[in-house]
Amino acid sequence: MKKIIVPLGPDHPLFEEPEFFILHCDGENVVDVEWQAGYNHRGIEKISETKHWDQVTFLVERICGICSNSHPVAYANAVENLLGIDIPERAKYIRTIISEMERLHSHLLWAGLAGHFLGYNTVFMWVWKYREPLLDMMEMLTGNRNNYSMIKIGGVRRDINDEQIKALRKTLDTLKTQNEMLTKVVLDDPVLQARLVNVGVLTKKDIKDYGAVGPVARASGVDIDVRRDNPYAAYSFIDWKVITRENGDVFDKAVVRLLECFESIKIIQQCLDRIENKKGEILNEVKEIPPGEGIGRHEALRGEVFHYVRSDGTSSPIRHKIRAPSYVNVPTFKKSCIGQTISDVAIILAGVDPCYCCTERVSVYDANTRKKKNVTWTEIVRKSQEKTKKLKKS
Amino acid sequence: MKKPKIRELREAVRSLFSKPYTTRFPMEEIIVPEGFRGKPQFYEEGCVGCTACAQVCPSKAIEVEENLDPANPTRRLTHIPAYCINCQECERNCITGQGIKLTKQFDVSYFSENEVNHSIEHQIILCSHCGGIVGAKKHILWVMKRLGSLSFSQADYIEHIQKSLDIPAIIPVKHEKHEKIERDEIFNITCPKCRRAVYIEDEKIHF
Repeated sequence: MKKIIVPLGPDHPLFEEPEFFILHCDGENVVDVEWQAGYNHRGIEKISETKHWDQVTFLVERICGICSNSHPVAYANAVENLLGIDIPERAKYIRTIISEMERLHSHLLWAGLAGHFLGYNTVFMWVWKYREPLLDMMEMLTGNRNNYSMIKIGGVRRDINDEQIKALRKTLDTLKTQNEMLTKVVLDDPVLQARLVNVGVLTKKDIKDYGAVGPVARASGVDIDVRRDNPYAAYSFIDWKVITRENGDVFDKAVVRLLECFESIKIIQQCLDRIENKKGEILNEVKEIPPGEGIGRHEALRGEVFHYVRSDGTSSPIRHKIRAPSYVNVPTFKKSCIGQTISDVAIILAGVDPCYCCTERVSVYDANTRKKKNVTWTEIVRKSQEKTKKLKKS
Repeated sequence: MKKPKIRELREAVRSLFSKPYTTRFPMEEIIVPEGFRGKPQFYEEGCVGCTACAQVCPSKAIEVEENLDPANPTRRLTHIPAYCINCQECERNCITGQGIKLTKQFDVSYFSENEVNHSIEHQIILCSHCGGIVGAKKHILWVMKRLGSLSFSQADYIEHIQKSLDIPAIIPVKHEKHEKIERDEIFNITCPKCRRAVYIEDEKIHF
């Protein structure tokens, strides 16, 4: 039978970012998926080597619009790991509050988008309406609806006062009731169940093979969460639990995200209890960064984000490596899309909550033909071996 | 499936009778909360022209132009909103704390760059020997004020104080230009590099 190729992208109304999928179809069913990236490459790791340690925080904040607190937290964790310092307790709580608020708004945003992809625009409108007060709260706490600029090496840049705590509590209470209603609507609806249950299934083995992280892994029954496994900020002082589901389909991914919203609300409320009516230091001033290397991890909204920095004692990092969660989550499409119909592909792709601008690392252009090239693994190995040969000769 | 429908219907009815959630932005003014990070603004009274803000800016949104014309040497600091990321680093690192501050202005749409780029000009002091920059005049006066009586230990500063008090310079200054810097130049206004040369590489002392 003849295969049909359906290109999705690079500029597709469904996607928020430029990316390119090639679906090989047999009739309605997808047989193979190819993914091409590189439309969004900005060379962040290289720019980072030209900036001051404090300035890099603002640079990594701009890797992704949604994770604009996750990357700075992971970077600060990495530098604090290098320095071997601890941050003040109040700063820990504030970091946790901002991280969890970001998780809340991102999961709600995802729920709205998923509703939109399924043709449930009512869900899209309602959820984004519920999300709006949260962004207003962010504006009040940090000074901006997005790109919060809260994190600094050694602490946080702004304190939270009691008036803001009061307003935040009120917002969270309203959000909790709204989220309860929303969760019930999603779980009960027969049409949504028919669209989502047993669609894009990833088994436990698939997750381990691809090394997927975050809500994608937790929906398949893999119990991993950096917040619990390798506690940072104030997560170890607080009572909360990791949400897992067993089936690994898109429905479970939605359930995990919606239930994580309740956990986030719980975490924020506990943090607010601890910092209310108290005063304290929020910053451990860091004068200089000694030579060394450090790693930092943070459970971002989509999974674990990893930063590695190396210092030679100068004012900027000499190496800064970033691994975003989508880097390991996106390849699972190869497993989850195959055998599904084209109409289901949209929600399966969205189910992972992919973030391509986090993932873009390298793209190869041929200078002579001015065309983009796909590089295979064997080619990279060959290049590496050639370099060794060259070094041996010289 | 009777119960879920009632639950959603209640939300739908509530939405129907509540006012629109969106704001009529261009027609209606939006009140931003206290502490909002808007467009930065220079303040004439506070700014001393030290360029600390330009050095710490992560996106290089503050441009420093220096005019080394001996008749009227100036330094111009220009803020370019197109590059600005409103991170507040300039305000946090301002040495006086009053020179540059973030306003609440968030809509900076414009037709030409000159409408929004705003700048502040400072008089700078040049080295009498090499013509290099010593610093902004206001910055040096600010440092002198902070040093208090300690500032009298520096010949440059004494001359400054005399000038600011309208007292003519007591020390007679030789205006002969030498190829190599000499000891008597310490009584003129010299840049740190030249002053170091006077003290260390004086023609009479050879290391």
